[in-house]
Amino acid sequence: MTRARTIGTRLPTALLLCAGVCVSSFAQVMTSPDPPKVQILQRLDSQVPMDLVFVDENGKDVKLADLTNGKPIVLALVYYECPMLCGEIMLGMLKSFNELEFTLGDEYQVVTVSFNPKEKPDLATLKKKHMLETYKKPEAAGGWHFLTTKDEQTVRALADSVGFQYSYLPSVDQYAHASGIMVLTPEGRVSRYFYGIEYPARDLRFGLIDASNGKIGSLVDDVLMLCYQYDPASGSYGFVVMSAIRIGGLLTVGFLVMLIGGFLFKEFRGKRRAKAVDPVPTH
Amino acid sequence: MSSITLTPDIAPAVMPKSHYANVRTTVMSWLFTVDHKRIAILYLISITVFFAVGGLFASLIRIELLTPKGDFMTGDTYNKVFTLHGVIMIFFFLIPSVPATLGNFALPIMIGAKDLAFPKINLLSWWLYMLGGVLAVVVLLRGGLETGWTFYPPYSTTFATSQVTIAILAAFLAGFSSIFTGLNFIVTVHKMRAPGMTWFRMPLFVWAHYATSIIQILGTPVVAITLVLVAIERVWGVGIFNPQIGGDPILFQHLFWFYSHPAVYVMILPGMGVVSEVIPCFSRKRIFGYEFIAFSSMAIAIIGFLVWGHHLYVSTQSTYAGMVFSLLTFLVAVPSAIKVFNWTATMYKGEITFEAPMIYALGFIGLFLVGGLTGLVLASMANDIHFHDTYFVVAHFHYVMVGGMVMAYMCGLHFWWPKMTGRMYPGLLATIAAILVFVGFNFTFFPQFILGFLGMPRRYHSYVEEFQILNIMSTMGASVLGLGYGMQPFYLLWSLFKGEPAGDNPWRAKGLEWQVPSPPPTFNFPDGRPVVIEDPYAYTIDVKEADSVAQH
Repeated sequence: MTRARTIGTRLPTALLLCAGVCVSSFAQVMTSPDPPKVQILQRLDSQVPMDLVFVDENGKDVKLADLTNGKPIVLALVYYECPMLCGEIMLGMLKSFNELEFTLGDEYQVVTVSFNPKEKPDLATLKKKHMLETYKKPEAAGGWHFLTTKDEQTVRALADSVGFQYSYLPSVDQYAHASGIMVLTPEGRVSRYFYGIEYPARDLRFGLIDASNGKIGSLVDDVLMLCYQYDPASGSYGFVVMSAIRIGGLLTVGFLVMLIGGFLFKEFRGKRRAKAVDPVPTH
Repeated sequence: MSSITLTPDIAPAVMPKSHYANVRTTVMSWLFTVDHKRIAILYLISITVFFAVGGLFASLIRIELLTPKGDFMTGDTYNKVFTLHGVIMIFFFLIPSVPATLGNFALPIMIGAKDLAFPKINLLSWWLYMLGGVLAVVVLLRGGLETGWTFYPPYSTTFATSQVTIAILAAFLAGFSSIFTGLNFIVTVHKMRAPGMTWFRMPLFVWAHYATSIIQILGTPVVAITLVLVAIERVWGVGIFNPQIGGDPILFQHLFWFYSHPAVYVMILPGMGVVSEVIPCFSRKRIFGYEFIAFSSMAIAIIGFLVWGHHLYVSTQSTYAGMVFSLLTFLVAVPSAIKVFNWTATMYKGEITFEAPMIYALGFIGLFLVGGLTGLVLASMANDIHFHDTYFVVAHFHYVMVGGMVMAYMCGLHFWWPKMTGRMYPGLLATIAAILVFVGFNFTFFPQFILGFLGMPRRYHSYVEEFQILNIMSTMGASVLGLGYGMQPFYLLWSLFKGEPAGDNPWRAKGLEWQVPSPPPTFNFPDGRPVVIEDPYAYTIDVKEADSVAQH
């Protein structure tokens, strides 16, 4: 009910926000075209076109669908020659992957896609070598794919499907783009967004477990997942009081039921025995 | 084994030479006693002190409301006064009142036990209660509290400048004291009943306490933890309830009322238990529909957990949720009504006498009826939009809490006083006090129904001039009520020294507690463990005739 209420109050707020964005972008168009507005529009549960074909770091054509191996995917849209933000995004991912108990390639796949059509696989190879030098298990290289695109439309289709916005700025020959990574289910549905350049390993872990539909993670994770719930507004997991109270409530009810049940069981068993011994009831 | 004698004492009663209260007389022997009867007396003294303090705040409120302008105290002070009135009355008087004093004293004797199952935990719960009480006094001395007894955030977590954290700790400790009492009662009822004391020979007072204990154990932890969460948010700024840092203020209201509505039943159920003992005794008739009263207590305890949402009709709760809560709230009225019908059916063709306990019991039935029915008015969602946060609500819960619970507490106190002290209070004075309380109460709170209907909001120290007449009436009624309460300590204390020895069974009642000396010895049953052979309502006068008329 709390959730229903939250959504109930959030929906109008979101609509208002959208309206505000539209009005303000309209105003911007009217005044000056720069700088463009780039952000991540959440498209939770939308289907990514998994038959899009990219080029991997070895120069081979690959379909997105072939990269999943039935595992959840961490997707990052960057460009390799990016002077600022992309490097931070990649380092943030690396830091998180190193802290994560899951191993790249075993429990999840990582797909990095360059949205700059000018970048070629040789650049991707370099980047991959550089990144995997500092990953805890270099042998896991097969699980991290560095893709480039043959044409603008292909990568634009991918970016649109996850709500990732970017825009080329000819004046500085750079891209303006949002920062964040996404977790996709093995079937290619958008499951989680992580904003910014730091992705807490705990949150990422839960995101991956969630996206895997229970195929990875342990029983402890399942219990923990009850306590930590994804908040789409902030893109992170928070401790959910309601779940904590539920667990406490169940424990208390369990305790009481066992106490009273135990007493009643003993009492009635005692009575049956007394009857068996002494046919005249004492009550 | 004690024999069960039914004849009242004919020879003038004398006080027993040695009893629970005089075996040892040092202060330490009282403060660290594990005798349930002595702990009951400790509770009796403590809750009486808190009742007096809470009553003092109530009279300050009524003085302020004599005039439309806020001229007696500032708005801030007024906030503090009604907050402390609420916190003290609810956590430190109403919740422990009947269970911790009368229940503690009578429950073990009623089921033929020599003490509660865990005497030391019983003592611990009194100490926790006192610790909480001392903290409440600290709050008072350090400048008070202005959040209202409900501690609603974000006010309580962000804006309130006062002693919220300490007050929360005080309520938390009082809560755990209440959990321990509940646990003790449940185990005692299961494990300590005398031979022959079957489940359906237990006095209804015991059934009511059993149901109450279940609520205490299930509900109190929730409010205790909720209050701790408020403290965590205040002290460490963790966003739990404050929306600015990612919290949800409505979540607090859900958590708070999930306990605090059942808590209303923690307060009223033991009172119903008292009335179920007193009515048959002073009607000289077997209680009507014993099983129905017993199971209605359990039904109230269970359904009572499913109605909290009726406090949130106007707090953005979904309409559909509101409809379900409204329906469940109407349902919880059914078991309460069953009790009222059974009490009146018990009196039908009974041989009614009007001693002080009976007057309180009759007052209880009438006032609880008004309180309960106006509860249904508030449970209807459309009405609630009009009545929400008006004096109608104030009048409603005072009819239940004061008209119901305080009346029941006084009823029980006057009923078991001779057992607790071995002496009778002056009957005439007690009767006058009871009538003053009933009349004064109605004059205090009935006008508030009208005020609320007309739209006077709660929690303000000033109001528009049209409301003055009714407010003056209310304040005058409160003075009469105060006089009624104020008489009691005098004649009760007087009776301690000068009262006639009461004898074992001054009311010719049937419960086991009336077959031991007054006051009872330390282990209750001087002749060893009793064997119970009949139910506690075996009143004999015209039973057959009256029963056949009432049941067919």
